[in-house]
Amino acid sequence: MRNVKLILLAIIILINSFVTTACWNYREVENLAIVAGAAVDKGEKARYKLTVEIVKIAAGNDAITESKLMSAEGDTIFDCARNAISVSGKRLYWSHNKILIISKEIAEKGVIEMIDWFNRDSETRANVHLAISTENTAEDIFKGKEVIQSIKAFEMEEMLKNEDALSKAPRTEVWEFANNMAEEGIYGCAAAVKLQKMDGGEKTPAVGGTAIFRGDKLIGIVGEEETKDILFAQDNIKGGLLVETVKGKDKDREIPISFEIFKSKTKIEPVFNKNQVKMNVDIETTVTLAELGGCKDFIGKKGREELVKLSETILKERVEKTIKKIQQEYGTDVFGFGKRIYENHYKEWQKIKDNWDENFKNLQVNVKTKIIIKNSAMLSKPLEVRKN
Amino acid sequence: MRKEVITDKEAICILIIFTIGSTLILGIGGDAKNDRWISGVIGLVLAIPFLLIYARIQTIFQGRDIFDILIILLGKIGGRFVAVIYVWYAFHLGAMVIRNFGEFVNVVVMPETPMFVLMVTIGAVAIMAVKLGIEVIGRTCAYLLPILVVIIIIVQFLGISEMKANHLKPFFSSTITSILDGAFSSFAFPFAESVVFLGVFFTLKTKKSPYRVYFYGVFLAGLLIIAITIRNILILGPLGTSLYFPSHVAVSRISIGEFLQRIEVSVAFVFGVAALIKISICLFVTAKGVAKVCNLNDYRSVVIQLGLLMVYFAQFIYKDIMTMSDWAFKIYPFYALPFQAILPVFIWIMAEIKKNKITAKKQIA
Repeated sequence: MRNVKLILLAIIILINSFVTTACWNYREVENLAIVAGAAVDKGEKARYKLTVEIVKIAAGNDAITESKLMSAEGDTIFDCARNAISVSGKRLYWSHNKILIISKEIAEKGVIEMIDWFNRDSETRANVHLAISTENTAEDIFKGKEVIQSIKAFEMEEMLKNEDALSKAPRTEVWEFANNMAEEGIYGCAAAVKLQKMDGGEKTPAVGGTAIFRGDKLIGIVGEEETKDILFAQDNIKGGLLVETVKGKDKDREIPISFEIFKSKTKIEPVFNKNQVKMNVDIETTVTLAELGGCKDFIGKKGREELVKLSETILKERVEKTIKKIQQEYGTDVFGFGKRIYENHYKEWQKIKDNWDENFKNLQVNVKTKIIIKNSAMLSKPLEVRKN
Repeated sequence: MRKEVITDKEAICILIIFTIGSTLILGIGGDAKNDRWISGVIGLVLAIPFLLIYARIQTIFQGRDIFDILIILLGKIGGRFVAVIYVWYAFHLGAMVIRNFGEFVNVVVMPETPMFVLMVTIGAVAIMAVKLGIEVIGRTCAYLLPILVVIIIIVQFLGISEMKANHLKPFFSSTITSILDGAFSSFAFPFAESVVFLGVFFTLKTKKSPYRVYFYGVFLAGLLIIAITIRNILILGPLGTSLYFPSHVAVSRISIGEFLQRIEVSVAFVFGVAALIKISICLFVTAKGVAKVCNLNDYRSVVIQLGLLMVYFAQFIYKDIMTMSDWAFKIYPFYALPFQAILPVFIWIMAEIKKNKITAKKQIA
């Protein structure tokens, strides 16, 4: 009896292991079209044209990855993605998507249509980087030539990730942008991408600059240096260089100097005075003197003090200038000044939130800068040129 | 039949896993935005008097379950009538948790698999667990809880790099009503759901145990839930309120050096275990109740039927996930109020009166 039971059990287990071990809807790797990056343009026949960069995995001893472009049109992003089946015969697989590039033309009308699907669908990931193309179309970016990696979208992701050491473009993920759209007292921004000429006339995708939004609508793009100032005012500087030129001993010869930023902290404190609000922006940056292109001694005690003072004024002036420019030209609070008030001074915010956009344009911002030079790298003196 | 006994430690473990159950994945607090955790704390405090009442009822009638107690207090017919109400509550709660599990797996991982398959699978495991008895469930919990807690704590620390402290500020930015609303909702789901354990803790050994178990259990679970809520707010910010499964998304953001990422499966694991235990406990209480009401010798004879019914019920209980989340946060607190608060208070008052009579009778005799 016991044996019969055992045998029966064994048979049941055996049959089950054949019959029930399978996936309901399994998909093999070679049947997937893995999306690395996506670009959205205005469509010719339908509302949107979606161009995706697909990773082709060639089987073999070494896995070789190749990039391939493919586009499809549709009335929504998901529609485009599904219509791509008729082009490739394979379903797009979105989990490895790294970047979403949107053309200027449609970003100006609002990007909510593009980013909703990335936040909502369970296959797409919400930590896709958001970027705006400064070229005519977003698709153009993918038509550039890659430099190091074979996949352009992965390359651009690396660029964005390494912005920490450059600070010339903000790094915004789709979910973060969605948060900024909803939060009070801040407008989102995204990185700008463009094509850059290389030797030999070929163009390659490059990241740099900030796309400025109002709500979900693109209203302008500012350059790389101004981006750094914006990042200073947002307290988002993680590294990068601070480059300036100062006058040396010879009146006609300027000395270029680069500081490498190691730590930067920006304190943003609103000051309330009756019905007026003022913003105090205190930037404290720890740098090393990484390059000193001249003979003047800026390292000794006296020279150092002079250099610090000079650099502080230069930094202060450029940040102030950029803030003023944003206030006057765009009038959108990309710095999140309003958000600071909302978070730390909730009661006052209730009074001013309704016309914050107007207030922001005329907001008085006091920038204070403090630069701490912690070392001058390996050299303790400037290089010398023998006189005679 | 041998009397089943669980130790205090096992009971605490069951209660903790039961309480974090589906809350872990659905979150608490409803509309209170970034003050959801405050709602959680208030909800936990609100639950204290009721925990005292549950524990007191259990102490007065040590070794008897809620259905026995009702029959003693209200007589054979009245007692059975109220007992049926509690059977319904446990049955409904179990079905809701099965459905939560089904929806979660369906939305997040397997959108094309019929939900019924998923629900039958977890239902079958729960049926097996209940057939094996409460002692087995207790020992399983004592074994699993440390694993779950370690996973939760590790994930909590891994998430630090994604957290932004300013998402918590400003405190009390949502209106008082929405905070209290959230508190009420988190009182009903999950803290006061521990009323179901009146049908389980007759297995405790000593008279003091119920107090100890209820307090340690619900408080530790409350701490875990509040810690998870704060983590979710810190990682997700304003977007968190519009997610069905905030924990899952919050953990999916964690990415440490390109190497340690996509660890959201840990949430699914913890939720799977916790849902299983919660369903098992509900099924156990339902079966126990049906057996008592119908005068059966052993509850085990009705477990399979009730378990399958529970799964079927879960299938048509909600139309879609929108109804589910509406129900869980808006309607459920009011629906559960009689079971969680009103009836227990009545039972407790009657128990205190009856207890004196019983002791008086004894003295006369």
